Amino acid sequence: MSVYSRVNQALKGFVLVSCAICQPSWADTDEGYDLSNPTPLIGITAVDDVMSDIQEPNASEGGAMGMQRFFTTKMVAALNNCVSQTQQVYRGWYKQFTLLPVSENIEKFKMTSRVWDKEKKGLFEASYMLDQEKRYIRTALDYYRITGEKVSPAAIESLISTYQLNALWNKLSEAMECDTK
Amino acid sequence: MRYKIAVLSVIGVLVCTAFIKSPKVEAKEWRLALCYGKGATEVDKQYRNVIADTAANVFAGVDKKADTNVMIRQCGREPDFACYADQSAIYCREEPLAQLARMAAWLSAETAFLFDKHRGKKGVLNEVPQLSWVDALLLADAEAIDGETVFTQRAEMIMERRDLDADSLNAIYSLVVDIYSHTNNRQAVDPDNQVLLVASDIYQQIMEYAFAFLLGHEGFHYTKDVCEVSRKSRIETNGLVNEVSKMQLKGGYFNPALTLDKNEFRADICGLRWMEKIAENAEADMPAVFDALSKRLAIDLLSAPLLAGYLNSIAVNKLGQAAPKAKLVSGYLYPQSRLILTSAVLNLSEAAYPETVKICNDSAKAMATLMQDAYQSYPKSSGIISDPVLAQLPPGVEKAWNGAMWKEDSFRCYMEKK
Repeated sequence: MSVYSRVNQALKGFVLVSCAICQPSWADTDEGYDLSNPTPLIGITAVDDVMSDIQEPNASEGGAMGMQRFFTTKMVAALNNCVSQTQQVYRGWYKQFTLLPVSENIEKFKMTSRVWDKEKKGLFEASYMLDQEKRYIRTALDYYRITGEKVSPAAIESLISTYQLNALWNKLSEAMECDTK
Repeated sequence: MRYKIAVLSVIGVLVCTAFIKSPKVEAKEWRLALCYGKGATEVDKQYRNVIADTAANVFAGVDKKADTNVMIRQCGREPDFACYADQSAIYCREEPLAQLARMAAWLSAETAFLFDKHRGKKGVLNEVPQLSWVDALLLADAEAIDGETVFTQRAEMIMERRDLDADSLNAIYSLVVDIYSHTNNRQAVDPDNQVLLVASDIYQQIMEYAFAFLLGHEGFHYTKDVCEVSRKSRIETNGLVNEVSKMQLKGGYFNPALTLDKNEFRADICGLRWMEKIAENAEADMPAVFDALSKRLAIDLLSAPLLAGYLNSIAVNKLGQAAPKAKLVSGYLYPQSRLILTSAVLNLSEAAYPETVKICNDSAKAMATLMQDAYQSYPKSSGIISDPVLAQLPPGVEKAWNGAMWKEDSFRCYMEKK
């Protein structure tokens, strides 16, 4: 069973950080947008013990048919706080595709940021957290369509190629193993 | 010699989706769904009985109450890998399993002749087989190709490379065909035909070892990430599993860009527990020399799917045809690590002749090359191969890595003189 609550739960009470480019309506309220139906695109949970019970919630999605790699519980040598390295990877990705930021919230051991997709038909939400008990690290990328529709697997494949999620996955995976020295 | 009764409730060619649509699995029911792809040849479809029987024996070997169901259909969509599993069934492509069955027959046939030559005495364990796992893979692959051209070309190349005469290769091939004929048609072997009896027994045993690893891995996914064999294997309790995983993580020997997925790693650990269980069952049944020989041959057999993957075409690396290019798949252990662990399971299960149950001969040659390649292609490699890992290779490999000259003998495994 997943140790995580769904992302929509985490979103409740989310404090939007004001920024120059934010859409006023978006910053004021979530009304009109369905944020209860995220489509996970990437989910990487890192653990340092093979017998750990911690599990990436979407790890079984897609089996071995090509999607599995995007949702993984990976083994790392050590669990370090890599919030700034992970944030840098996401920021680089936003810049690469000129994705307009909506909000960003960074704390010592976690971050969440949202950006519009290129066509403003939905938004990406990137998150990172180091478990307070240092049992795991997780980063995830979710996608919300503003109409509230769930994105179909075919659309996910197009998102994967359009936004080069493969390369992003590799960079995130590397960032999660940062050195603390 | 033994005879096993396969516990098989359904076998056959069924175009059926009933159990695939029924995710609820009754207790102790093991479901194996084979599917053949568009490129499957008629040759590939001839091994259904032996695949089903071997799977049933393995399931029964780890779970006495196993009820095995096998179904065969055309692939709706061909999986990227040989197999995958979810909670409805274990799904495998038929072609790679058929290729594994053919490769097992080639290795078993030659070994049966060597066993016969030594009259089953322990001297056979010092023999270097003329057919390597790569030769067996090349021939098994060629058998599924229409026409005789590729098969003949490869046979001639192997004869030249191995200093093997046509009569010897023909004798091996004839025994290979006999193995197919008996196992695929479930015919009992004439008790007077000692060579075929030995070959069939070796064949069955090494197929079970290979299937135990494969099905144990997928069985873990099938049973909701719980291993049917709950007892830890020796490689878990002696720390080798941890040692090997460290090689793939940051600061280790291999490039950690090839990520290691916790669940795939645990699935491998489960497959290795299944193998250990099958080895324990075999040890109780078999004469010591036969048992040791089968274990070493199983390591050679597993070299193909683990080191090379199930390739449609066989790429070659610097050793020419001596070692196909290793197939790296993100999320999994490095192929070298997987072979080390499978070797260690069989080595640590071997009571009488452990020094001969290792990665030996051409498998050792391929491993040494692949370890060196991995080191050279990753500048941040620790370069450290620990003693428990080295223990799975012939002593000559360690000596050469420590500065001695490489010789053909570097890759041999010898019985210790007592």
